Amino acid sequence: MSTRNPGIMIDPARQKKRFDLSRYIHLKKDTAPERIVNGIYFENPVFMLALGMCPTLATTTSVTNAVGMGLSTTAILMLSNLFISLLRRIIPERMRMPSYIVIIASFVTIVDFLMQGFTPAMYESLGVYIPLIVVNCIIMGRAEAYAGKHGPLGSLADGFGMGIGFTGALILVASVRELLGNGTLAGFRVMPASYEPINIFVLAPGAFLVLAVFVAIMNRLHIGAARRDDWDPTGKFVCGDCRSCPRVAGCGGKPAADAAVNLHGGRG
Amino acid sequence: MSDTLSRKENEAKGTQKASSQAFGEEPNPSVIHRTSDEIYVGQKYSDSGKPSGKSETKKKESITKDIFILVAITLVAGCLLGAAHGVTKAPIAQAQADAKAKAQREVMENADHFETLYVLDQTGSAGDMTIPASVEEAVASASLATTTITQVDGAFDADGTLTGYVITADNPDGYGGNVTVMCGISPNADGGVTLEGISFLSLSETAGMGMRAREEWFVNQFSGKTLNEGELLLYTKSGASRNNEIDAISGCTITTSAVTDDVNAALITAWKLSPDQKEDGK
Repeated sequence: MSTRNPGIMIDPARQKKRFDLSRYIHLKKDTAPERIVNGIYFENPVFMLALGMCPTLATTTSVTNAVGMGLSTTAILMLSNLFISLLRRIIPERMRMPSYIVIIASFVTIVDFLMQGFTPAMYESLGVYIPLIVVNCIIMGRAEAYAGKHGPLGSLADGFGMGIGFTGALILVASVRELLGNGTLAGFRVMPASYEPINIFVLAPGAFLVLAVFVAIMNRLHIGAARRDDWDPTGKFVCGDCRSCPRVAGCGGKPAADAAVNLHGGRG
Repeated sequence: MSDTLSRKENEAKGTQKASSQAFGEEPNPSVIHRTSDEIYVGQKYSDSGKPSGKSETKKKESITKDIFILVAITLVAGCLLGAAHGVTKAPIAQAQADAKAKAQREVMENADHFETLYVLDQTGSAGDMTIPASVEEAVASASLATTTITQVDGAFDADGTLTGYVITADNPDGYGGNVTVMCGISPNADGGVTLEGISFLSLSETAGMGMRAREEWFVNQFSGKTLNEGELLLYTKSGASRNNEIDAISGCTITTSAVTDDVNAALITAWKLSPDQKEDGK
């Protein structure tokens, strides 16, 4: 099913054998459970939408850092999604971006103060990354793609789902990097004492390598970004090529063929 | 380019193309599973993508309204931030003070209590407690120009006698930011000093690399080192053989250098201060 060249057909038999979770999970669109499952699997921000790559590479040197970063981002995602959704009818069309940025930056600063005051140890290790959550594309992307157009409950759940999906992705990458690059997992010595840590995994090149291998494995199992080939957000074959679309993250259209949507149940 | 063409085609033909696809007239694989419900869903999405006509007619009046709304949002955000800052100011100061007190205990275990003697005068209000110029000169002249002494605390025992100093030095040349080290130094009777121990107040290096400075084997190198007057520490990559040498962290020369500079600055401060204190008979 290549939308790049509509003339190419995927053999239906092969298509049937592909792992497709939407065959087994049918959830009503825009409800809390659907949004959460969507954020964790169907539109995982790191592996499907390719958002938030910078924190994925930078803060995954250890699992504790990854969890801290992921949970802080989740908290801010939920808060900003909720408030942007509540204000969506007030914020004018062309003041979208500045308003979103003000709201997101305020919440990040508040979380920054709270962490500095009440969890100083975590604040020490996450340090400069907290203010960088402001420019984390996941938050802007979801505000643009979902919170600005849907109700508060759905947006809150969407923020939660995306945040948990992001945290899961971070933990995945961080486990490999910490295990191979340091011999520990969340501070606990896992590798035997004779293990010589492969230092490159805690440096930037190692981050790219680990992420690349994960993406490759997921594409092979058809649970990764390769699934974007199945998307056609407008349903009219207009945009077509989701695989290389730079705006797929902000595109609010629901993927047609690969979705936790019970199409036969109606339009909701 | 094929995308633009297909968009124009779709707009011209409307729903007819979609429905003809549903019946399989054109071999379009992306619509194999479509039902009429799906065509409706597709149309709904494309409609919501268009801007509503309302905002266009109100274009002239809405600029002021837009600005007003943005100002209102920013105002509310500002008030919330002010409130948050007010609530967390005390806990933040407390957390920082706790960290400092903990570090003081770590570096000078035998002391009974501590008292701040000198602080870095950043706001012009330190007065008598300003770090003596002689100390700053001595630090600068020992090729430690970038390192600054930020605080000197006196360590007193239960009688109130000064038993040593807890000196905080800050070096901005770490790999990932400032390296702030707190050193416990007690003067010896023969004019030398004993470096009791060090503790990191700020260390933001790479995990697994510069952050290894926190590991026991590295920190213990600075514990209980007796140095003669004028003796500074040197880091070496080929195994420390002399008393004033310490092992560098492999691959982290910059971090090691920053830490060593901090400790040396603290040592110089202790030498500068101890004859003065002894002369005053404290």
